Amino acid sequence: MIGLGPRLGRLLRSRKLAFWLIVVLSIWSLLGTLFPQGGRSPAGFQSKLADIPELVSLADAIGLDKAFSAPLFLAAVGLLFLSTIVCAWDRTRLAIRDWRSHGRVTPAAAERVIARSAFSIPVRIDAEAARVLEDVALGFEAVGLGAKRGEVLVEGSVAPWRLLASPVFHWSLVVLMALFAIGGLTRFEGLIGVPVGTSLPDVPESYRTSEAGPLFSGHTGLSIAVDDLVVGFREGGVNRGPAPTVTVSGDRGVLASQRVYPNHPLRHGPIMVHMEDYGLAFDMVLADSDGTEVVRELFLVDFDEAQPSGTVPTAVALERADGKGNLSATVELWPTTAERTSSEIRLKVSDEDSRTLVDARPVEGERTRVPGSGVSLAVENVRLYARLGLVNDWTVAPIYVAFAVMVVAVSAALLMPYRVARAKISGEGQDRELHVWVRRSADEAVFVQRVQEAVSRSLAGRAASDEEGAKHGS
Amino acid sequence: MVLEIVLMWSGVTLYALGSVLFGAGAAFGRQALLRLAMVISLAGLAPHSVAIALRWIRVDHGPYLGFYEVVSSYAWFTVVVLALIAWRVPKLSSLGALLMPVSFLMLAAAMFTPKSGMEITGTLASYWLTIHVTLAKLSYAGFIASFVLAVAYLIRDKGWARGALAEVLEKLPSQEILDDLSFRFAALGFILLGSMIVAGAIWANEAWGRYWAWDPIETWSLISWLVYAGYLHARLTLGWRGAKSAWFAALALPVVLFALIGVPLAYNSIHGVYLLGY
Repeated sequence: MIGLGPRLGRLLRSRKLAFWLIVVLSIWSLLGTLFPQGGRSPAGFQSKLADIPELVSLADAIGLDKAFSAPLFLAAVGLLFLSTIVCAWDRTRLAIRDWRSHGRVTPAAAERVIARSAFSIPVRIDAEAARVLEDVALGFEAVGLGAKRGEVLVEGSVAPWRLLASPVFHWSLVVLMALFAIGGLTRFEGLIGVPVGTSLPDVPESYRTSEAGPLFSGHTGLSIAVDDLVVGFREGGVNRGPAPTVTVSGDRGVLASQRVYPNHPLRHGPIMVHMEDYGLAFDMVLADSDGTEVVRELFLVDFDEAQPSGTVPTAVALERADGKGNLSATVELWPTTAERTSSEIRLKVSDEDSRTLVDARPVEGERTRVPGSGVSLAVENVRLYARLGLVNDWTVAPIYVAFAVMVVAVSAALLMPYRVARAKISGEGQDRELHVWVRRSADEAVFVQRVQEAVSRSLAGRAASDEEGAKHGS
Repeated sequence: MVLEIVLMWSGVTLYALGSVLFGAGAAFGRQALLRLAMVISLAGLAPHSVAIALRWIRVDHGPYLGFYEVVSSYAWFTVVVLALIAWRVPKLSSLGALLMPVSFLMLAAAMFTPKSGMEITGTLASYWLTIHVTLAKLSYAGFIASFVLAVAYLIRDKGWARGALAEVLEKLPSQEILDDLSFRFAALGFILLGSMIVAGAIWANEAWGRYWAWDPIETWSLISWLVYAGYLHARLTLGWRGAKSAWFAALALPVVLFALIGVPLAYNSIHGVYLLGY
């Protein structure tokens, strides 16, 4: 165990580790796209691979059917996360160190200007050292460096805040990875069907399907109401599709209310309500022989173009009052308009031997007696319902902020790197040489060329004006 | 629509002429021909631009939907990028011998595909569409430029060029400069691709309620970004330069191209709409 910490630190600090983790994650992600994920049907050419059983078995065995939650993938991401933290920490320390020494040239650094110069230019025998260094300073300024003039050395540099760009970028990656992980653990996402004119509470029972992370903090209990629904809502000349007006309410009253459609979700705190689709809803009312309403139940009906009616038939189980077995009822709604806002009703009731007892086309609200059961059925209140997606994820807003920071930081790090150049003259008399040192960077060849051209132009300009001056003087 | 078609074919014709002139100028080392080629190519850009603008007004959205619009816009961007490169680094104008034929072939291919306009639906009706697509196109331009410079580096480094091609390559800047420029364009592409992914994630959240779902094209965009992250890492922290770096830049582009063109064709992805239509 002794030495495990330092060894782990060295491993996480390794630049090769980060590189190979990126390679592994790229290859694993590529393999993951070859197979349908999370039980989805094969898409496109995935179908061809799905026909090879040996390949499918192998993929399932190594976790490629759930590639992005597989242990191998999560382990690689976890290791990359730790490696990025160490990298960000190291870069931060180096950036602070370099910032502290910004604008100060140590004797060793001054020696390096000559020993490790990027280029050298012979100095004219009649040129004063001070004027040469001034020309170099002007050359530095011409390439965007702020020049600091000294007696024997000139330094050009950019603002030291640029040192922070790379550390900030890496820290933003750390924050993003953490937020993605935390979001996955605390996020809730569900589909809720709310008929027009009604509301449902944000509780588990309200959702048709839902997925909650293991650390989800729990439902809010807020009321989600659909006030109206416009099929084919148009705004800005664009058909936005079905768009309900959704109202979120709590103990203090209305908290948020707006029309909801793609790219226009309703937000309240960490909750976001977006529009998925719409369908039909009706109340099935069961009354006894006296006509007293015994049961009223809400049913949601989805559209299905494969059905002759265009909607999914709704099955209802009934008990016979005489105790002679059960009855099954089927309600089919047949939309009569293009927008499906009104429908004809077909009601069929069969006994346990599949004998048809009722096959009627009642109007809305009309009671239909079921022979032998002592009950009557009615379909009431046919209206539209909105299938809403509700997401409860507090990490979305911080993720947006981290995205913005990441983009700005990486842009600064790559496009505006920290640059320093220093110049010094060596030798005496006709052996004098101007040496220019440039801090190493990923694209130093291009930058060194720009500095060399700028300094040479500046020196040549001085030489030309000196010659002009000499001609006029003579 | 007729005017739009006429203008497009004018652009195709001028791009073809520009390609021939670039080829001749590069082959015979004639600067005058190269300059004429650039003028002709920019002249082709004029009717091409007007045609794109007319269509934009007619269909009420930019060149984002369907093979015809998307490929036409990439051809447009290629010519603009060539013009910018030639303006900033005149020595690189002979790259037109490579880029103009690509642009010509792209626009010509687009002209033989269906041209009916696609309506913007609710999901696409967002300013994020413009942001996302623009960032995508700019990033691909950066990667293509990086690729071309890397290939030029490798051809010269390995001595694969003969005759006229060798003479053309001799006129390009030094190997070190080519290497650094390839890195710079890849870095620019990396930033823009990252921004594109961010814009796409935010848009997906607004439209569908989730910022990431490992959709094939989302995954391939991330793979592309990781590949170039690996390239930058190799250069910035492992010190890869020269031929190593050039090979990486050259081999990275096919990943991006597959993400752009291959994925919509290979998968039934919701993102395939932008290339294949509804």
